[in-house]
Amino acid sequence: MAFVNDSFTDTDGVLLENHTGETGATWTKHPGHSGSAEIDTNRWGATSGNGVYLASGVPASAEYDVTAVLFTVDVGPNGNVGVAGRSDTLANTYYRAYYNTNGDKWAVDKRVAGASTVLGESGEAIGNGESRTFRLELRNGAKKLFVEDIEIISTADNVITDAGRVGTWQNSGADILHLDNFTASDPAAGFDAETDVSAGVGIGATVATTKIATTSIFAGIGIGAVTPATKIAVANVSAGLGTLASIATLRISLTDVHAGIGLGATVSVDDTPSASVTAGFGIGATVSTLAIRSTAVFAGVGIGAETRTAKHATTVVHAGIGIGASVWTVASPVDYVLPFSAVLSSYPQVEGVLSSHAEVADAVLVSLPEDP
Amino acid sequence: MKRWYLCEIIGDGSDEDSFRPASADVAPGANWGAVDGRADATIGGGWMVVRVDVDAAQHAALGADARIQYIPLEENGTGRVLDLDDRITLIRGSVRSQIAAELEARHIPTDDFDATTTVRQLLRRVMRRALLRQLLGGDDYIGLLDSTVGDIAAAKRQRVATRLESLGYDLTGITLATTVRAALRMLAAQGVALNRTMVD
Repeated sequence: MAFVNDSFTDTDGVLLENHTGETGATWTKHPGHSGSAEIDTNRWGATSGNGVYLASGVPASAEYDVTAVLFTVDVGPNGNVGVAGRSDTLANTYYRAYYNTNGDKWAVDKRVAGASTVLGESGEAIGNGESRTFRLELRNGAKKLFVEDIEIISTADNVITDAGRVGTWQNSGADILHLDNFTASDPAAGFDAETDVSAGVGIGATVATTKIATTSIFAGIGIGAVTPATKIAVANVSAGLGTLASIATLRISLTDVHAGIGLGATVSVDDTPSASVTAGFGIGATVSTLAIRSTAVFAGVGIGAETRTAKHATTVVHAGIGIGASVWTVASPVDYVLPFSAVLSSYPQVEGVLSSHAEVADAVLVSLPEDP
Repeated sequence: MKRWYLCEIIGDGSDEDSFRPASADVAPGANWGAVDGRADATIGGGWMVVRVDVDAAQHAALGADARIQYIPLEENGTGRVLDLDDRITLIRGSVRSQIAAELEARHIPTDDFDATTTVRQLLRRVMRRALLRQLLGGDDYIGLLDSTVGDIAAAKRQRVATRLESLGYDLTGITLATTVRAALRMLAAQGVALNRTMVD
């Protein structure tokens, strides 16, 4: 949800403090700066000096994105232009991301009581007349700069923790760099994971398309709790407790994946390392298509628990305890397999392990070496 | 190749000469990101932990600069730069000891590192210690790591406790008898939102 939006559509020469944009975009010159900016060909253009303009829109929290389009007018002279966030309205304190024609580089830095500290840089020579969409992503755990949606700078610095305001920043004369389409927005839905994401308690609780790191994702307690398309590292993912709880398309490292307790609990398409994967307890618990190693895979306790297509090394693969528990197509070494009363099929590389492992003596071994 | 360095901070804090790690000037074309290890960002000096994407020439230049301390997270024998989830026991023992000494000198406890410790855990410890210093500012304790929490002046101790609890830290288990070293380890182990690093 954008709390500031300005396309800078206005008459040439209107000072920014006299211009009003579309949303939350009444601009005030920061008292700690003297530099000025004005409208120039329906864009923001510095006129002189070191300046910060703060937008009137107020962020809901200290975590938000500030996006703008940079236009290069004449990169010959030295100039710095960019955006600021978490800015104090009085003190000379904020994070900022900007392009610097002196050195042809992007930078993220912080200003604390007037003292500037560079926290990251990335070189890019941009010719005259070009544009780049850039985004300063402010999170407690990271300050990142993206240019054309590619992350180029990241720092974990977090000395400025208040939400503050957003704004434009410049240390530049006129006609060097322009800005356009300034937007500040709260993180997109499903994009604001911090320490915990919980979809709640109830039928059909769902966490959809979570995109960034969390320590915990929990889809809730209830029938049909689902965590689909989780894309980045989390410490724990739990689809909840209930019938048909499922986790789909986990893509990056996890320490634990737990599809829950209930009928039909499912973990599917776990692409990357995890310390532990368990499909839970219940009828039809399934772990399918594990693509990369984990230290433990446990398909659960119950009728029909299955671990399918685990493809890389695991230390433990456990199809569960119950009627019809099965492990399919484990493609690379494991330390042991523990399918109590289980069906173990197509598992060509662990026969020796099985024969020397007392815990699996009761396993029913069928179909070797065929695929399921 | 991304490598990690502990760098002295140079500059005067003005926009024309911003505080920055010395590596920024020694390898000016390299992409980098850093965490500030200072308690007060308005004062020069101090150090940053910096991840720099370097080529061989840039790495050599950084290594030759006395203001820059390379963290040699490299496999003994092969020189391979270790992955984040590699164990630090792959590093030659004497080099590991040097790294530990460098970190302890910056008030970063390393005494609990063992055969299971990974590169990620080591770097996380460094950055979380730096972040803790940022969060505590002038109340950050830089006395002996083996002194106790009880050795800290009561007023400062109370300010620190209040600040940390307001940020979501759990101080359970930290008593007056707890060493500063142990307290720092316990705080660094916590995954509070403000405690994230570039390897989390």
